[in-house]
Amino acid sequence: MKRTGRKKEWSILVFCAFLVGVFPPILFLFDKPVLIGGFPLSFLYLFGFWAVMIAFIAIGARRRLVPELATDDVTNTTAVADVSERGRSDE
Amino acid sequence: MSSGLVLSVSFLYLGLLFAIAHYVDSRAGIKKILSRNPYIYTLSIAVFCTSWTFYGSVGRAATTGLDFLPIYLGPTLVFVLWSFVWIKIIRICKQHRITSIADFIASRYGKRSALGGLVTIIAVVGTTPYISLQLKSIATSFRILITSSGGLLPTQPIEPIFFIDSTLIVAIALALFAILFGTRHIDASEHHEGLVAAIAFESVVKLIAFLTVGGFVTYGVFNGFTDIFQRASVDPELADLFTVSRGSGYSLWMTMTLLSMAAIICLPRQFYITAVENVEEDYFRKATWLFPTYLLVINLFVLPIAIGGRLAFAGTPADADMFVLTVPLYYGHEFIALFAFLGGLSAATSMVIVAAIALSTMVCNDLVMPLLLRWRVLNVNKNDDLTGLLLTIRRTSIFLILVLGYGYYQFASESYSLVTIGLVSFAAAAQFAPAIIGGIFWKNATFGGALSGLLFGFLVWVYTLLLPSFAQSGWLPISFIDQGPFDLWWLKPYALFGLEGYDRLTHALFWSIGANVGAYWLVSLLSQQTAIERIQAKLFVDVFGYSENASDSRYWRGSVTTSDLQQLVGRFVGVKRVAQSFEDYSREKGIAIKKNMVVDAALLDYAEKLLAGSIGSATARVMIGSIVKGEIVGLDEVYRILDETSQVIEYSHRLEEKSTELEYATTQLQMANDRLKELDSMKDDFLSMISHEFRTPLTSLRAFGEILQDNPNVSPEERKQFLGIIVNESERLTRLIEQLLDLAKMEAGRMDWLLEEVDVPSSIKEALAALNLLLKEQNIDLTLDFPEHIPLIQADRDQLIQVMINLVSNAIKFCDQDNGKINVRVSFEKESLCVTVEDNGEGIPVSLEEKIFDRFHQSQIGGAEKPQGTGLGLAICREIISFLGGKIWAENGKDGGAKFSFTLPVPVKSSPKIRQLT
Repeated sequence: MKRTGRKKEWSILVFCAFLVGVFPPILFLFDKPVLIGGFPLSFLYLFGFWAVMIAFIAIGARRRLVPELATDDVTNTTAVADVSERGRSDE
Repeated sequence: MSSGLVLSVSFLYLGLLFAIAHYVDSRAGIKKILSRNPYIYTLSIAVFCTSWTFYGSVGRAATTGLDFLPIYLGPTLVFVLWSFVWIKIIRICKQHRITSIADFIASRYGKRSALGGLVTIIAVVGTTPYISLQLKSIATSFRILITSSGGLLPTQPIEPIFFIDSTLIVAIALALFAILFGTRHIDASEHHEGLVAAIAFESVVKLIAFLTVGGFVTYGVFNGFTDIFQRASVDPELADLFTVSRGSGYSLWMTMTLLSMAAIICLPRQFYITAVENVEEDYFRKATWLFPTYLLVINLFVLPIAIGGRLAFAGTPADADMFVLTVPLYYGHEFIALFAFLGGLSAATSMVIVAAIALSTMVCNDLVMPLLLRWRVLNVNKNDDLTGLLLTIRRTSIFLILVLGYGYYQFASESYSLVTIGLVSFAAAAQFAPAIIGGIFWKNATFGGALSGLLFGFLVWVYTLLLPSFAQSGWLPISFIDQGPFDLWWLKPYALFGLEGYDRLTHALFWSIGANVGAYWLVSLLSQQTAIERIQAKLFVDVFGYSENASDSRYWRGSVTTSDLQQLVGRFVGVKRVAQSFEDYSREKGIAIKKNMVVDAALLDYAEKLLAGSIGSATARVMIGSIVKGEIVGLDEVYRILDETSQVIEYSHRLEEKSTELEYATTQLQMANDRLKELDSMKDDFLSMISHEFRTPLTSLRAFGEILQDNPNVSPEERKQFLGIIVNESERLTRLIEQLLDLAKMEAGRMDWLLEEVDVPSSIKEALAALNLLLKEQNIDLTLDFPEHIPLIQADRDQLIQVMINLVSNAIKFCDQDNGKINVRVSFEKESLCVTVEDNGEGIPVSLEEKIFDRFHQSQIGGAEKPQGTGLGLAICREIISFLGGKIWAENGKDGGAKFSFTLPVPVKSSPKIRQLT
């Protein structure tokens, strides 16, 4: 499996966000015995937050459609485009 | 419900499992489809959800509210870090043919059997309560189901069936299943597709069963989620269940989260099913979010069922752990209850089967085999087949593990709820976390550190969680808990060293993990790694660096013949399989293996790994060592090579970067060189041209001079004419030289500029006046196009006129010979003035639009032999315009002629003086 640094940064971000979200003091904000739309607030928050985090994991685990080499090519062509743009503005 | 019905359904279900496992194992096609599938893999990981989840979560929710959730949030948190943790562990397991968590830890810290044995003991002791929990849930649910009738719930325990406790029957049946499907292969690192498929099927059953009960309670008994929550909110006691903690702090919540994070990696069965049974690393891409989704879905209905149970059994004592079963029974839906029972059965059986298999491998490879070796029961020089012995050990240990679980159930588990027992187990498994996580990220962790960390952590766990549970069951005096042993208050197991105010779990985890990490860390720093430890540490921590060029750990140096080696491995792995493996090896490497050949290090390494798959890495190393003569010399050398390899990899990375840089520089140089060559040839052309230009006027000067010198009788008219020519030619020469000097000055920045306010149209007209004669001669139609108000600009008037003269004389030269037309236009935009000179000649080739402004560049006109002009005019124009802050460029006009334009900045009205100063 090709290992890229981006995925790691993303997973660290999601991990930290997750940990902060389910630990106090954030948890404390939502941990109240009140009903919102017929659902307990903490029930809604915990399951909702959990689901969002799972979605984030899924985003992080997607296979990269553009392989590494192809992205290099793209930057090269933009570099070329830059040069030609500069050339044009010189006229 | 009759016990006959429940029993037959249960055994039919187990029979179905057998059928699935057998079917998958026996059909190669199906095997491939089902084993090469990330969904099956994900479902098999869901073995995490045991009867604890199925029954215990509801029980927990019915008593303390939402704090059943951390057990599922923790695994999700770990799965976020799948690419750090799991992929690394899986890669290591595959490369070293790791078969269990004990093997993993033993292999990392130098393949020492002492560590593997300790891990095995901890795992067995820690898992026993967990297995007993499963047996308890099966037994309890069975009892409830067969004694209930018409909504009445049982109060008395039932009689044994055929004088045998039904739980024992279940335990034996499960042991049989595990034996049949878990010990089919000798090589424990091979995949058990049939088993995995059956476990995945169980995961589907328990999910559907739980959702059925949840749907029934939520929508069948009540009118959806909001209805249940609404009713509960009326009762303050039930409304408390809506929260995580009723003001009692969040320490338990956080402890449970951390604990379950450790458990998802360290529970022997989770490690086994996730890492050892993984077929393809890439499956993790799906599993990493599918498994948390499974956990989320199975937990959705926990709170509604718990509240439904509390509402149904309000006022009467009822076991909240069994609400999943008793709530449908209470409302008279026996078949839903039966389905729920099946779900619970599937949850329990899957855990017991996988745990028993994982533990039996550990017991056999890391506990029994090393002991047999030590006691010299196995005569390694003998030539008997030991595969049968290996299988017997594994089968016996499966059986014993279940008996142990049953024993714990009989004696201790009655006084505890399901979740409490489970958490005790989790806390034991968590002791592996420092050794595993430290082992894959910290190279300097030593065998001594791991051993002492595990030992201390385990002892504290026994003291703070296991022994008190024995005391509560009556095995130890209860004063052990209340007053501490020998009345020593600071040794009270639930308040060690006087630490009070936390729940028992947080308390136990704090002390045990504290002791574990402390010892692991401290001893690691104080002790030295042996060479093999260093090798293994490097191979584990840098596993991704060595993936491509595997088998770097060839430390065997001694000599042994192929037949000896094959014989040894064959005794443990099976003769046929070894022959096949060796054949594969020789084909892959393209070498012929002969019987009496002395084996090289690579083949020895291959054989060791083959052996490790069957008997664990520690034992495998000892076995290979026993037949290799000359022992393992040069471990330090191996380490050095290993170290060098990683350095070489790094070095080659840097080299690659350097070479790309170099390549870039080379192209740049190439381009510069081409340009220089071009300039050089242009200079040569220019020199030849300029000498020609100089010679022509010089020749005529000399010729007319000689005529005047030699012929004193030249008529005055002629003399005047000749002198006129001499003066003209001298002027031309002077002009040429002046131009050259000007250009050189401008380029060197030594030109004296006289900046003043200039009226552009008048300058242009002055320039055109100077060219008037030429225009007339060539009969060229000149048109001017000036707007009315043109602002004054800051410029050097003479130089501006020079520019115009150069451009217009260029246009005269290049415009249509017969019908020449030149248009001079001035336009004015916000901040700049644009002057355009357009002719109707042949235009400029696009490729030359830039080059035309270079020095010495001369354009050929329509087949003329030699270029006209000095090739300096446009270069001078560009220098002047750039100095004045404008731009000059050439393009082709609409009608095909050349079009030269230049801009000049218009000073901002308010600050003309500033402009002047610059």
